[in-house]
Amino acid sequence: MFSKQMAIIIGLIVLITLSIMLLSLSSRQPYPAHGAGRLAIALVSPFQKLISHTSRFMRDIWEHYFFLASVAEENERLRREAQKAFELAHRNEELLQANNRLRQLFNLGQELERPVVAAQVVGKDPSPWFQTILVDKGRDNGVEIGFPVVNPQGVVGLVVEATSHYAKVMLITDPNSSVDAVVQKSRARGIIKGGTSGYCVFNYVLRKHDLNVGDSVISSGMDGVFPKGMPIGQVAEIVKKEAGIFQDVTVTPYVDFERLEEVLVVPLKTSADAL
Amino acid sequence: MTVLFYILVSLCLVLVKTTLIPGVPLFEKFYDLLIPIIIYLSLFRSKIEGIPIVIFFGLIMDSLCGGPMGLYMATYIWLYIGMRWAAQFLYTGSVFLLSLAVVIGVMFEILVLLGYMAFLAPSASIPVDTLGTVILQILWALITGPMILVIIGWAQKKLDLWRAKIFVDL
Repeated sequence: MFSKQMAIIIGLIVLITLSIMLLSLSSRQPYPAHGAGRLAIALVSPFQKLISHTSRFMRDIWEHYFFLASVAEENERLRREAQKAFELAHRNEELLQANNRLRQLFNLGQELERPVVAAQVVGKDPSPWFQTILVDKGRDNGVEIGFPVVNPQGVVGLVVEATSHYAKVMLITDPNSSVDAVVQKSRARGIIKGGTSGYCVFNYVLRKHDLNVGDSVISSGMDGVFPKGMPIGQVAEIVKKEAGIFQDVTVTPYVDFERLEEVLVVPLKTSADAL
Repeated sequence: MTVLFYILVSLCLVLVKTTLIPGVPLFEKFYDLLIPIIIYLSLFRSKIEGIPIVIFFGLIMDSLCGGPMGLYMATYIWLYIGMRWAAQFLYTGSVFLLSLAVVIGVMFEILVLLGYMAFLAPSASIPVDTLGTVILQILWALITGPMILVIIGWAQKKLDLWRAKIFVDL
């Protein structure tokens, strides 16, 4: 009655209609599937979860690695910049301080009205029994033995040895050092000698002179070496013994020898200069 | 090679002593670090090695110190001779005796320097803080002297081994 071709067509129509009906019914019921649908979900979803989490994890690692690498690079760059900025700030601070000290030295050089040689301290005496420093100017720069050395705080010492490029300066705190000095207020005269431990003793000051702690002691210029009126230190202690014609006076130098960095070597006035 | 080694060591020590140590509190009165080396040389090394090094040490210190030329050289030479003489009678393997040797060396140097300051210096006088400096130097010598000798001994042994190896290789 029906041909084979007719049966196929009818079958197709039925299948299409059923499909449409099923789609139409399922679209009206937006709930999770039951039965086989749930089973499929239960079976597949754990693996999906595992795979998706793993892939996400791997992707995160990958992305974070690049992110961290770039952050690390940036961090390194910022660290270098901070280091450079710190070095620059430090150098600026050093330059500022050096500038102040050199300005003071320059002013002092002008006050002295003589050509002076500015020098930097490069080393100290290896023995604690002697108080000398090495400076980076020598005979080639006009520095000679016997030249006084000063800085803006006051008298530093005397050149005792000079090579072509360096000179050894005996500080006023060295036991062998002597500077003719007067107390600025009372004009009491004496000899400043070194006491090694950062201070000096003021010898041969007559008992009759009234001295007070804190009085300023200056160079008298009578020794023919140190310029007159250069500050040396201040009186720290006065002991008047019952006997004797002198009093024992201790003087703390104005110059901080522990922090001495730059000094001025003052050439002595020659007879030709005086003329 | 030994002479060169000690020359380098002494230069390093002198550089440290003149540039770094003066700024460190408590170390400013540190004793002469060349003394343990001289004692080591006098006790454990030959005269051929010891004498040129001691003379070099003296020259260096005399050039850098505020004292007169020859003061340190004389001190070092007498210290070297004295210690060599003492080594004939004393057992040099004892740490206690080595400490004592360093202390004696430091005291000998102090005596020579103070003798110079008291009697020979142009404006002769003893520094006012002498006692404090002497005590501090002796204490430092007692504490660090044997340690420095042990370090020198260790370095010398390494140097000897190295030298022997080089000669064997050659």
